[in-house]
Amino acid sequence: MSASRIARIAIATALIATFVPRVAFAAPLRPLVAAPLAQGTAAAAALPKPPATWHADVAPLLPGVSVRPGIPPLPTVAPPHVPIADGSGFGLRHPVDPTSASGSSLPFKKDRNSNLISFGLFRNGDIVAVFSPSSITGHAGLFDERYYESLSSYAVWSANVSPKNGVQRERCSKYRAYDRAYALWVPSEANHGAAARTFAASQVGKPYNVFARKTDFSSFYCSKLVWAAWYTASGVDLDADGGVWVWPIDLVNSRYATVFGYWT
Amino acid sequence: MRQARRWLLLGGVTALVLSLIVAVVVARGSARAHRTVYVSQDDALAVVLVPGLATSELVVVDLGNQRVARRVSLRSLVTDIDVDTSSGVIAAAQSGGVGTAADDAVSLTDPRSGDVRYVTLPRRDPGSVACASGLVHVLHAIIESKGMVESTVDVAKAAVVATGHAPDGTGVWTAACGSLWTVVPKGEKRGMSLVRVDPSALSTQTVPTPGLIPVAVEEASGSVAVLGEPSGVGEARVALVQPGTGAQIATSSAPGLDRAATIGAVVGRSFVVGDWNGEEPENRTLAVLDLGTLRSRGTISIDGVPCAVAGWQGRLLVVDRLGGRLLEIDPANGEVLARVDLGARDLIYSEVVVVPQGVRGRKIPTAQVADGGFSGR
Repeated sequence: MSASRIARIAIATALIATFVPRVAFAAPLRPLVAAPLAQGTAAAAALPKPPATWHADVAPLLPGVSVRPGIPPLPTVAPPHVPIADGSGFGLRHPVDPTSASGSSLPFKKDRNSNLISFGLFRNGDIVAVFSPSSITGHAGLFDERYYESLSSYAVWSANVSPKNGVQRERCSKYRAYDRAYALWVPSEANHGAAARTFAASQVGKPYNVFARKTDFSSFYCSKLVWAAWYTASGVDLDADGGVWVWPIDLVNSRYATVFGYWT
Repeated sequence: MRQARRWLLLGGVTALVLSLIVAVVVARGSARAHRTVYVSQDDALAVVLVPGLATSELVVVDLGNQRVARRVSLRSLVTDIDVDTSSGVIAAAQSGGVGTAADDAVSLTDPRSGDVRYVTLPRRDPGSVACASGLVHVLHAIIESKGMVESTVDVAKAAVVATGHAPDGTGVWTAACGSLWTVVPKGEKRGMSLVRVDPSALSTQTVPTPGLIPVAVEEASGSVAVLGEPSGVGEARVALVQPGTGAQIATSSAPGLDRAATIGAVVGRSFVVGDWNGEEPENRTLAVLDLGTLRSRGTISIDGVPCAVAGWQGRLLVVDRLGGRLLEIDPANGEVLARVDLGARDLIYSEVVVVPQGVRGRKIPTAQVADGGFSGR
């Protein structure tokens, strides 16, 4: 092999190593879009008919959770919304002030890439989505109140890598170790949160398969489990772009899911 | 054309040289990490977990000299540690990240030499570890029809010796008084049950805790301390239970705490309790109870956020999550006797265990250490 050919290969390798991670991580950085997206894809047409209890987009009041009351109905068409990177989300002040760890401002710059997403605010069926440079697609899970006592509790249903038994319940503290985290709920279907959670729990034993279409419930990956749970429980389609697969960022971008807390 | 080739050749050579330099630096750093500087078996040690998504760290603190003796890097996110008091080995649940980034090992670390051995488990996502009688009982975040998957690792053999299932619970997993203890939800209604698990057969027995919702369990000098809260009230409550019969010996509220008690440690003749659960607002107070009667002896205000506690020779050891320090405190008057900087601040969570004086470390042959790196999938 000639010296110039070796040099060309070395430079090409260096360029690939430099740019591929940036391209791969660019996907989760798409701004949140609240505008309705086309649902008329072939995959959507193949979905089972939603249950008859389909509700209009009106957020119910939930007792004991000061963040949620007073949310106006989702507009039919809304302008694109870019979240403010101070944890306040869509104009809702998250009770956990991201600039303060214990009632006072952090006196130093955080030296670790982690977040302070508050699982104490989660209810059955609420969604947590996390992203980091080390994960191309990010990860998502569904919260189960029954198992939550503290950050150490195994209270988030998701799908893991395993030849079988892909559907698992993960430890909340692991989600805090990620760079970015979003807490989502479905305001118009909040009374179906327990049903969504129950669906996820009933899928224990199903294998992990990232290649299966989202309408194939014989196997799951993390965001598909979340999507399937809410679709089965309430008929709402949380896939923002209505594709064959549903990714964690699709859940964050969904017009039916509202961010009630996040850390970036 | 010739000049272009020359530039291409120069670029290629530069890239190769840079790669070699990086490789040498990484190799030297790795060699330094495995240097066997042996800490004397006479030294009492505290081992503090500093978790990280890609790598976690065990900070070994020489309690006698109040300094960091060494730092041991572990290959993935660690969610729990425990000490095998018979050997002084630290077992860590190498849980890894969520989803496809989960790991599948338990690490066994000799804090005196810094040697690490990874024991590959038959299933992924180990979340909790409990050491008893030279064995590490590992609870996985893997649920099957029979319950949560459990693996048992023999510390001396550094090998998996048994597998089974534990009750499908919240993930509490503590060895105390010869048994394993876990907490299982009662269903949709608010409430939890305390369950004792036989370490050999993994058979279970529910232990009633009247008036107390169990959240955590600690060993308390021959008794089992159940930490939690009263039904429907946001305050901390502690009960001492006889390990054999489950009979309540004493029960008491823990003043100064705002929610369910979650952490506790025996410190001399006291039992010190905290309520850190990772949620705001983070309490900076610990409650001190009498070990025998659980009567209140007062509270201690911490200059920081106490997220993990342990006891050593009548001294209270506290991990300050916010400041990234290990504090040594006199529980009688709250005086801070020593502060050791752990080298990282704003910890996600932490754990601290004590390796007592005179416990000989189990030397792990250098040929077996650091079984390769783990790359998250």
